[in-house]
Amino acid sequence: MANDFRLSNAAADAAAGDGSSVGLGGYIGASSIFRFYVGAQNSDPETAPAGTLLSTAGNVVTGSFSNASGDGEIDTSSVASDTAVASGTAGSFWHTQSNGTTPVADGTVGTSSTDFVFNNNVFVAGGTISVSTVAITVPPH
Amino acid sequence: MATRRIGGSFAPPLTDERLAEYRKLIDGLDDSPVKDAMTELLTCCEAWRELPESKGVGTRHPLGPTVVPLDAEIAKALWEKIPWREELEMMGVLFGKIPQGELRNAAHHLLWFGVELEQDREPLTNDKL
Repeated sequence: MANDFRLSNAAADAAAGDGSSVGLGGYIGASSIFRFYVGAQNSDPETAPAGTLLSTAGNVVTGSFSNASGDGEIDTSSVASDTAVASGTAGSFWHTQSNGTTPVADGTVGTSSTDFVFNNNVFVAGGTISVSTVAITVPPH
Repeated sequence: MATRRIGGSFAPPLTDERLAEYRKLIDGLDDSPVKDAMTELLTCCEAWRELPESKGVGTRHPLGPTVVPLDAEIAKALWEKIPWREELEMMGVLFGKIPQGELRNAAHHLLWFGVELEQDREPLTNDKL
């Protein structure tokens, strides 16, 4: 028999939290940071990808994630921008709490069929990197 | 499922001065795949710069700028100048080996425009944000 463990919507919602003090939303907190890198993500999200960092302090997602959908998803639609300090083709991201060191998640970056979808994943030093519409779902999918 | 994590990379616009700088930089390179690729991209960008800006009705990108498709006549005029997507991907790999610095920045700036034009749209430069 294959494994097919699932959480109910209510249980996933409880794990996702409300974006303030409980669950994943509470763990992430306000002003979490996204950084973008050349190359693949690390073997696990505990440490940053090894490739060249393309942004400085990263893209700060202003405000907290909120839970509006009630199905285990927390999201933010605030737009945050940063200036690229190096040039390269972004392949991965690392998401941390506002302190920039406590890891939250990582994933792939590209122009389609990746965890983070950009209009163009070529980053140019001096260009603008923006993020918006970031959603995280428990269980992840 | 709809895309749930959206980002944007918006390069600085190309100016005549910057194109001239890139031409000089490329002319100073020894013959190499990097020089060939940058020359191809520069030729494409120069051709695009000589054409009028597309005036079609665009759609709003989630991050703000309006995505304007290349007018049919402009797309047709650029057809043979714009590298294929597979070529652009190979250029990305090639340029990824250039050490950080002026040449790498120039190569990726041109590549960024190539990627935008290959998608048949007016490049979403950061002055449009």
